Formats: sequence, C-alpha cells, structure tokens
Amino acid sequence: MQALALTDVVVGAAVTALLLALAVQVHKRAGTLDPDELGATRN
Amino acid sequence: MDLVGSTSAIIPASVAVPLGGAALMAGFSWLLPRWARDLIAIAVALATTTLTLILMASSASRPMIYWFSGWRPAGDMAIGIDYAIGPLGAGMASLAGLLASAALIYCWRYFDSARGRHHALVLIFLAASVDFCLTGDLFNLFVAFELVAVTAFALTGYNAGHPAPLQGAINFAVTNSLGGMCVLMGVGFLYARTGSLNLAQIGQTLTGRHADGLIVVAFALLTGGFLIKAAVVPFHFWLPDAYGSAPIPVCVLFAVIRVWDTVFSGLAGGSGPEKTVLLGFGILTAVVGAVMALAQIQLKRMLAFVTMSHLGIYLIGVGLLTPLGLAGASLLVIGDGLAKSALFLGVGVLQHQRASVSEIKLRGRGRGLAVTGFTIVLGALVLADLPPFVSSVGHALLVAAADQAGLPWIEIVIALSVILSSGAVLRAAGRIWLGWGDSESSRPDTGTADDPGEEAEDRSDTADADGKLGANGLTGVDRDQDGRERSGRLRRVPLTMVLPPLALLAIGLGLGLTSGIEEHAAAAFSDRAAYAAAVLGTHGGSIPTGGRVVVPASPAASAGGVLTDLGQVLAALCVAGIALDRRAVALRRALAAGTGWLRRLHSGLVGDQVTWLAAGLALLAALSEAALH
Repeated sequence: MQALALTDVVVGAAVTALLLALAVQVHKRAGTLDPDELGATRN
Repeated sequence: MDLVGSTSAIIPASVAVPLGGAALMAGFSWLLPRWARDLIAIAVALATTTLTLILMASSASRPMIYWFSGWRPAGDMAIGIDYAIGPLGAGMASLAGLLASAALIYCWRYFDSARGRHHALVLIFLAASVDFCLTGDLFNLFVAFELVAVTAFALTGYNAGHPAPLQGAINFAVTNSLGGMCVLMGVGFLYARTGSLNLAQIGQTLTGRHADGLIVVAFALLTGGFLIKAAVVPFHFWLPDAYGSAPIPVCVLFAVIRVWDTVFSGLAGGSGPEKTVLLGFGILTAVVGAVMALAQIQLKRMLAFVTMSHLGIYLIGVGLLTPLGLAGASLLVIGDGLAKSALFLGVGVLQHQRASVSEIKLRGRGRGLAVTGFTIVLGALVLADLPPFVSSVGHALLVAAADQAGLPWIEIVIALSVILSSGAVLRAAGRIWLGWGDSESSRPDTGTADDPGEEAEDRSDTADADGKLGANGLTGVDRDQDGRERSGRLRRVPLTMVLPPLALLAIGLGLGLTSGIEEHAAAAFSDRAAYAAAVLGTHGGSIPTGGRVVVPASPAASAGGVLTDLGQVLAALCVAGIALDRRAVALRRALAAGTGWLRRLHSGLVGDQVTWLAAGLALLAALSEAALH
C-alpha cells in the first residue's frame, strides 16, 4: 500500500515537472501566463 | 503450452528492451554519430514489434500469464503483479510498436536528434504503451497510463519554440492529467472496496454483488478518465490541439473494454444499459468528428478530427458489447490505424517540402510530390473502407454485429461519418494536387490567417532553411545543419519519408487479403471466468476457452459488404467533388453557417475544455448510476 502511494508521488512529480516546463516555455514565448490570452489554437 | 518456457522470457523483454534502448539513447547518444543514433532507435523499435508479434502468436489459443518476481497467487489471493497477455492486448502492443518504428524511420535525418532526447521519448512511449496493453494489474495500468501521457505531452510540446504546438501541449497536459487523477481515484475506490489491485481478482470479488454508490462512482471515474484520454465527446477538445499522437486513444479504448470486461461485468444487473451509454457517446463522437473534419483547412487538425470520428466508430463497435462487434472494432482499429498513420506521415512530407499545412496555401502546389499524393488519396480511401484492405473486413463485421443487436440504423450513422471524414481528406488532396476549388476559404468568418500559430511555424521553418538561426532557443548548431540539409533536399523527398506510409498501407492490404482473419479476431475474446481461472487458478491444467463465435461468412453477405464499402468510397469521392465545385458555393456557405456554433465551441481555451470535462464526468456518473442500479 505504501509502495503504491510512493509510486503515485513519483508519477505526480513527473507530470508536475512537465507542466511547469511547459508553463515556463509559454511565458518565454508569449509573455503571459493567462491561458485565455494565448490565441494560437482558435478554430 | 510447449512454448511457455521460452516465450516467458520474451514477456518482460518486450518492455525492458525499449526502456533499455531509451536509457541508451538518453545517456550515450553524444558518443554516437547521428546515423548510429537513428539506427539504434529504429532497431530497438523493430525488435519490440517483433517481440510483441511473437507474443500475439503464442497467446492465440489461451491467455499467457506472467507473474513478476515469481510472486504467484497464494490460495485464492493474487499477491504480485501480473501480465495477462491475450492476442488482443499483444496485437495492440504490436500496432504501437509498428507505428513507433514507422515514425522513427520517417524521422531519419529530419528531426534534430541531438542528445538523443526525441528518440528516448519515443522509446519510453513505446515501452509504456506495451506495458499498458499487456498488464493485468490495475495500478500498473494507471502507472503505464500516466507514463504514456507524460511522454506524449513531452513529444507534443517538443518543438517548444512554436506557439501552436506549445499551447496544444498545455491543453493536452492539463486535460489528460485531470483524466489521470480520475483514474487514480477510481482505482483507489475499487481497492478500498475489494482489497485487491489485480483485475481478475477484483472481477471475482465483485461478481454477483449489487453495485453500491462507491462502485458506481469508481466505475464513472475510471471510465471517464479513460474516455478523456480516448478523446471521446465531450472530453475530446484537446485532441485537435495536440495534433493526434496516433495510437494512444485507441489503446486506451481497448483498456476500457478490458477493465469493464474483467472488473465490472460480473455485477448484478446485466450489461444492457452500459451498452446504451457507450453507444451514445460513440455516435456523438463519430458525428462531431466528421462534421468538424470537413470544416478544417489545416491538414493536421483535419486528420485529428478524422481520427476522433473513427474512434467514435470503434466505440460504437465496442458498445455493442458482443464478441462480433468487438472483433469488428479491433480489425477496424488495425486497418484504420495503419491508414491514419500513413496520412499523418504524408502530411508531414507536405510540411517538410512545401513548408505549410494549410489546404488553401498548398492549393496546386502538390506537383512533384506524386507518391505522397498517392499515399494520401489511398489512405483516405482505406479509411472509407476500400474493399481488399483489412478495415473493410472490420466494417463488415461491425455491420453484422449491429444487425444482430437489432440496431441496423447504426450502419447509416457509421457510413455517414466515414463518408464525411474521408471526403474531407479527399477534398484536401484534390485541392492540393489538382488545383481544384476556390483559392479562398468559403467561410465568411475567417481571414487568411486562419491559424496564426501554424503560419508562424511555417515562416520560422523557411527562415531556418535560409541558414539563419531561429529565435526559438534550440541549439544553433543542429538547427543550422538541419536547415542546410533541408534546403539541399527541397527538390527530392527522402526515401525514408516516402516508404514508411506506403509500407503501412501495404500491411493493411496484406492483412485484409489474409483469409480467416475474421475468425481469428472473433476468437480473441475469452470470457471473464476463463480469464479469472487463468490468472488465479492452477497453471498446469487446461483452461476452457470461450465458445467460438459464429462469423457470418456466406457469399451473399460478403458480396453485399463489398458493395456497401465501394458505395461508401464513391460517396466520399462525391463529397470531395461537391466540396471543390465552384457551383456549390451557396451550399457550402449555408452548411458553414449552420455548423458555426459547433466550430465556435472549439475555442482552444483550456478553461473551456476543463469545464466540458467536468460536465461530461457528471453526465457519465448520472448515466452510470442509472445503468448499474
């Protein structure tokens, strides 16, 4: 049971790290962190 | 049985090989010249495909069970983690391996493979997909699910300098992480109720029980989480932005079925209402995908919607909950998966050679890319169930299953979606290669900059081709090399980009011509009791396999099926023709105005997508409550 919780922590950490990396890239590129301001994928 | 000793080593190898290859790529690629890096990655992917194909062949008659670290079940309790390998799971894993190999061959010398990161990501993605398809443990399923998701996010956002893929990656990452959390909560609830994480064991514990509130919620969360990943309406809004990472939604769909089948099908109350839920979602997804595909100008988004529409069709097949429907869906998955991958690769060639993926901008510029044109047209026709290919066999099975279930009108829905989505691709091909159609979009509410993100991507690609350093932060040296190589090759398309799509289509043709493939597909679905016995029971004895499914194989039925398929192909060509004909402008304007509300819903804003997700989950929970009680 503890092993499951630890595994899940690792998975969560990987996902969060990736989301953070993406957020940093967005800020570098678009200068904003507001998702509504990014207009690149409007249909 | 005689092969078990030797093949049992293959089972963990099928995941260890790509993982080892990925580690090699990530750690040692700086030592190797570029051709060696690409070659090793391709070799590892092909090796994995071979291993999974061997598994598929060996598990054809009975499921193979492999317990990790020798933790065999004690008495009636499953203690360790197992892989429960059936031909379907191994088949899905092989498909993933095949598509990954094709993608790596295609990327030969096209993709900046400095430090081996891209190849490592693809190989980890492959390892996680194989793990996902083969495992019999619920938590392992979740971990594989998350690993597939994380590598997919990374691959989607890989070209982090361009705005459109970046925002697509964020939408993808946010919605799918929420899906992962839903799956985790569902797993947690199931564990709380049954005390086990083994699929077979949970199924046994739940057999005959009445579904209480906790199980209903667990069911809704698990299904919802998987459906998010599978891009089913209303959870699908992330898919067009993420440019369709091909095999994930499909593998996930079959995981849903596996989980339903092994875990939930024993609950008291029967399977009637669940069928309706899946069918409803499937029909909605198929239709929305087809309509949106016609409305797209950007080729990759169009293909993403085509993918989604076909996923709705698989969901319909699966939702019929009969072995025949499942068999039809699995054959369609293979045939369509090969064709769609070929289409994506073909569009990639267009992007590489003509620096654009907009149908309007590419109008008439297809000269000189005849093989790619042929590939794309053939791929679209295969998606419309062109007869000798395996997708038409799957389609025939699906129609037969729908008839058996007493729902013949579903055939019309499927035909309509297929015709519209293939028609969209054929229209694009006609415009690009034959120069037909308007040079402006007929939609009143778009300017020429339909996708500013994609425009910027095109511009920076051509800027780099001139040898200037891009402003996107990638290492200057590799970008420069890429630019020089690419501008030198603008006349001729490299063979490594042309052959993989053709090879995939050829495999689809070969499978379709294989006689008896319907019987193999139909026999691939064993029943839950046999599965549980195989996992928890003795391993030496013989295991009763499920009764053979009767596949309608009369000449009249198959001839009728071929005619239907040819009819669909013709109708798709007609749709493309109408779409390009200058005289039909008024019709197109009216249709565009009529579907404007649907297009505006796809706003690309992550807040909208999450709202739809929450609403969809609530709906699913309500329906599950109604279905399971």
